[in-house]
Amino acid sequence: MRMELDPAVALAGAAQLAALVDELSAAAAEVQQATAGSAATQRRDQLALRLGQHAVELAIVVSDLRRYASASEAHERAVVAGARELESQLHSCPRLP
Amino acid sequence: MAARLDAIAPVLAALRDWRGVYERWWEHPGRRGGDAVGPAVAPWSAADEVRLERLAGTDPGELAASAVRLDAVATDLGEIAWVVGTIGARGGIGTSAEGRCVELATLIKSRVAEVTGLAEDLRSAAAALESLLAELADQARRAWEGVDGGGYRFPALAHRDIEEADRAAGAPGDPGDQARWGGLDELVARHAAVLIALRASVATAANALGDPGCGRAGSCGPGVWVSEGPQALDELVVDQDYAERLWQVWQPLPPATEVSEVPEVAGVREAADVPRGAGPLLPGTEGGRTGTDHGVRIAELPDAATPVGTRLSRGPG
Repeated sequence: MRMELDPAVALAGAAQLAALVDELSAAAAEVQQATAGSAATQRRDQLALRLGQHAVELAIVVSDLRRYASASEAHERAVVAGARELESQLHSCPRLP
Repeated sequence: MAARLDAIAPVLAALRDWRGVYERWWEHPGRRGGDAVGPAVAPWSAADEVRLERLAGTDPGELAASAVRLDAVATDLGEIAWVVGTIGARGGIGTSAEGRCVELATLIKSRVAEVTGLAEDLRSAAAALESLLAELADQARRAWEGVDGGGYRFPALAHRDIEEADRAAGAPGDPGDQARWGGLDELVARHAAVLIALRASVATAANALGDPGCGRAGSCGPGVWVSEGPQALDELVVDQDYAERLWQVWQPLPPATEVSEVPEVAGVREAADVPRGAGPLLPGTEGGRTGTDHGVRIAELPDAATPVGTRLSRGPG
């Protein structure tokens, strides 16, 4: 796994984008609920659908960032645990001549 | 909106009250037409009711309110697009996520224009509908006096005249016939004038909304007339009766004209190009016309370089 990103920055970005996902979903719902008359109904629905799709796409970005941050954190924990284990083994093993 | 419909309601109620009489007159084989009643106008139908109902279901106030809400949505979308784009451009979340953010920001920006466009169209439709409904209500008020029973106080009296007309159908020269049909014709003529005005207003309002007539699920599709609602049409059967009716409308072409008699005008010789007597001719197109001695001329396309003689040599047989 490439760990070049700061998990904290990724999480902060994910949080910002998650709020925008909610706003996009709300905008899609607002468009969907607009009274358009029979002529513009299809156009309105398509527009709402596209906005909903954008919300989903953005949500996928958020999910990826959170997954990355979570994996990064687990990786870091594993590295720390491994280092401690190695250190303890070094302390307990007989000194080499 | 409710006030507009209230204004139309009495006219609709009267049309419905006298609809049975009108329908019987319309379907009566002995009914008169032409100068006696003016243009033939079909009775007020369920399809008319559906069209009016669909139109009445669109409130101009709601359309305008939706336009305002959509303006607010467009503003929100502009801000969302800006923030998403900024997050993507700022970096720190990985190349892939940054690229997706910039891409999505562009897409969302393009939706702003679409939402604004829809809001504008709704505003225009609301204004047009408001004006047309007002006109419809005015017409309904003016038409109110036209949809009473005329010489009949009650529909039952008109039905009685139709029944007497039925009984007197085989008695030519019946002195009561003229009086009976006169009263019925007057009733129908009054209602027909109202129907024409009402249908014209409804059609204009529907067109202003761009209503294709498919507002309800299942109201469009093969075998369904948009103007007649969701009921499917009967299968067309080409039998002798149908053929006879068809040939009352379509006529054979006149006898063949010698090719040499037809002058060529600007390289076009359409009248002679048509194989005479080989097919039907729509009424109104046969015969001569001032300045065009050979009927309607149809210019050839510029790239159709086929020699006239070659075309003339082809015949139906």
